[in-house]
Amino acid sequence: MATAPTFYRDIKPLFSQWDRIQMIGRFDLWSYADVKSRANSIWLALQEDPAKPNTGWSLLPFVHIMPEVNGPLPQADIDLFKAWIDAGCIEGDHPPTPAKSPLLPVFIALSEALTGFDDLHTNPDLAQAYLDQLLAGDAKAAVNSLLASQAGIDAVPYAARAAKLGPDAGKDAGAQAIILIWYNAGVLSTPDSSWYSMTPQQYIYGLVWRAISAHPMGYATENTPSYWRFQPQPTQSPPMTGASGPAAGWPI
Amino acid sequence: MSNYDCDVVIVGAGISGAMIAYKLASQGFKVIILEAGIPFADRQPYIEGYYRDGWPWPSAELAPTPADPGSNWKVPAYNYWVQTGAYAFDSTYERRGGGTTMHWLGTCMRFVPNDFKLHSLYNVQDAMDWPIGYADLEPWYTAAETEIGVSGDGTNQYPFEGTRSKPYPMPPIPASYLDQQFGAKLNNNKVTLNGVTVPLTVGLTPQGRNSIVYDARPACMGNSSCVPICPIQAKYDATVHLGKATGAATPAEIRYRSVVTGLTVDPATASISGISYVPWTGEGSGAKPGPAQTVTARRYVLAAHAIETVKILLMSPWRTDGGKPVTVANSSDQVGRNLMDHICNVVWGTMPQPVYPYRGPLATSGIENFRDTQLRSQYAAFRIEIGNDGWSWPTGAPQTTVADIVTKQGLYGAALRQAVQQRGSTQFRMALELESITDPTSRVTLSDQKDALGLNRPQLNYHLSDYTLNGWVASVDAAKQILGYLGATDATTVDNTAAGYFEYQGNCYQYRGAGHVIGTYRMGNDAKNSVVDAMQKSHDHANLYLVGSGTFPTTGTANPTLTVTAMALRTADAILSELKASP
Repeated sequence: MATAPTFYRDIKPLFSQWDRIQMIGRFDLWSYADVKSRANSIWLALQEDPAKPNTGWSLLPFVHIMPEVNGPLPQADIDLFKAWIDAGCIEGDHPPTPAKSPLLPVFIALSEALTGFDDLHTNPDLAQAYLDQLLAGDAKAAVNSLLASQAGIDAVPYAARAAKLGPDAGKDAGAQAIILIWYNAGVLSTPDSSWYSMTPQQYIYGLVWRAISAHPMGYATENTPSYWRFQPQPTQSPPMTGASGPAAGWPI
Repeated sequence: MSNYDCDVVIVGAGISGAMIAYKLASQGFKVIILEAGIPFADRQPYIEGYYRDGWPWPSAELAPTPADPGSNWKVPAYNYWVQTGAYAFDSTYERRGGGTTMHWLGTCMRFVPNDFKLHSLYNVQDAMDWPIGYADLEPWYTAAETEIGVSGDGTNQYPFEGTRSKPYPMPPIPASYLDQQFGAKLNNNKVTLNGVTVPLTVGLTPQGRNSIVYDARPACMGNSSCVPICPIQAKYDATVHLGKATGAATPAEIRYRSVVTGLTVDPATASISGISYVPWTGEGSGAKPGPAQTVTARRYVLAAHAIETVKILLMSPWRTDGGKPVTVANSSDQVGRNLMDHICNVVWGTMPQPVYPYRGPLATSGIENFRDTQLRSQYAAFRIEIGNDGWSWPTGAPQTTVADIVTKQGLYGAALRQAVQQRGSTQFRMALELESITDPTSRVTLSDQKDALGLNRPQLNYHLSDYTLNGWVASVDAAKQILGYLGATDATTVDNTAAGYFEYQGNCYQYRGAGHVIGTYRMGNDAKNSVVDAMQKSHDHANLYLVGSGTFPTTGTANPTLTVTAMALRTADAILSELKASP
């Protein structure tokens, strides 16, 4: 390898969503800090034969062990992981984050009041991406006007914001655009238009999944075996940040 | 073999081709697979494609795939197919490594014994009996369940099911919470259709999806995106057996990006003498065809699914009969006829209590009681699939549900969140999948319109018989009674611009394709009215086999893939015997 391997470019792609979810109760395979601090153990575990059930990293007796491949992880991947350790576990370039706009605090406070989710401020990068998207789209004028009229809402506690907004706030075109981008992770101005214009991370953070007590389709976050037998647990959906949400390293 | 490029050439790297290639390659025979599309490699880019666009399987420029027909289904410029029928054909397929199993649901039910003899048993005049029966296929069903890896409950849940010689290789995928709510309301109740009483039983669906670690693939973790992609390959796809075939002691060779343009025939023996194809390179609109190639083999297997196989046959001139040209394998003039599907009566609504859809494999249970009743003498049977996917199939929910609440009710904040929760968690859908029978006017031919390689595009003239349409009317009645027992509110709508919109007996309906392309080179004992024999071998050419659901004389009442696989394994065994007998 011409240059030393780095985490975001070389190491994180070795671990699939399956691997990550299976291990999430212990640590996060997509987190640089977590993988670095356990690098030697991971390297040892990678060499287990995953064709043998109930070995390796399995948390439960009948789920597969990481990694998710037919047969052992390719030797080249194991060697790559070792080379990464030997080079000093280099983190490498973080994916770029959007520059924060002065409007962001108002946008986040307003978004929380409109969506009914009070933790959107925990992911300011995502909020900034949505704000940029809205201000580049058809709803630009309506969103700008709403942000201007609600200046100062970021100083109002969450519980008191609805009173400031008033009962008809949901009928405003800018408000609807803000709600839809957070819930549906793309712009869907009417039920007939296409909503697919998002990044994978935006899809996964769509609030609609949390609202209906489901996980994003294609992104299960539970490791209870056959969890669909049961009524959902509060932990079913990924929160805006934290262990079971998408980790750093995906484009926002 | 010295005079040939290989022992067996297979067209199509889907489930039939992969199974046959694996069986032959593992016995030391040299196999070449010609696949029109691209190989499947890393899963993650496809998964992220699904997150971004909802559909991870783009069509290739030089090996195009049909798009969902939609409201422009009659416009030839809109789609790869040219549709000329009174009804839209609403099911598609993939041209890529792994074929359509890359986005199948994974349902793996056997046919019931009576599915094979609709004509003789129920006196359905237009239906042709199969030349084989359940007993012929039973050992091969067992073999197919082992190869695919089927999770199921080995005890028969319905009286009309055939006996099993072996249990399923894995325990069943558990019923969803939603299924359990359905069972509590429906089991021990009865539906009455035309004076016939049919009991209701919510039963577990056998599926090609791991319930435990099997064949070095993980157990299902409930990603809830089986269609269009399983992110972890807990659901079987044909790349499993492509890998086994290329990893065999005599490795099969897969030539991707190789579009077959026709077969040639030795006039002296009427045997197939070669197969021509155009290889292509490059990506997207930069794809370019290379010089035409030919492969020769001792045996030829067309496994390109029910429409592309027909296209290849119709593009292959053979002889003339009274001045009329006859194409390869088509002395019976049956190639391309009897195009069928299981049209789906999709019914959706809301339950009085939360059932928490959008969680788990997309369907874990069904109501199978209508698959074989005395009503089959009057109209089509059907099975009922219970979806765990809410309204996503018919309406694009849950996102459309949010948009509906936001734009129509203007709710926000806690009230909005509560409304989304209430509506989203009570949504359900069922699909009543109707049987179809022989209909020579429902047909695939070659269009004058050409694809990017200059090959004729398939032309579809799809037709639905009264037998199926009368079954449809009964399915509407059955659904109504079931919704009554559930205490559910019907939310089903009909879109008169949709491809599947139709009017029958003064009522407006809309069907959706099940993705089951069936029947265009049917099997039979009589060479005059069938294309292949009971072993899927051409009546006309001793070294040509046509496999896949195209050989089905009728659709039966089960999703076809398990039967397709069982018959492919049976045919592979026959080819092995032939190859061993004349080395």
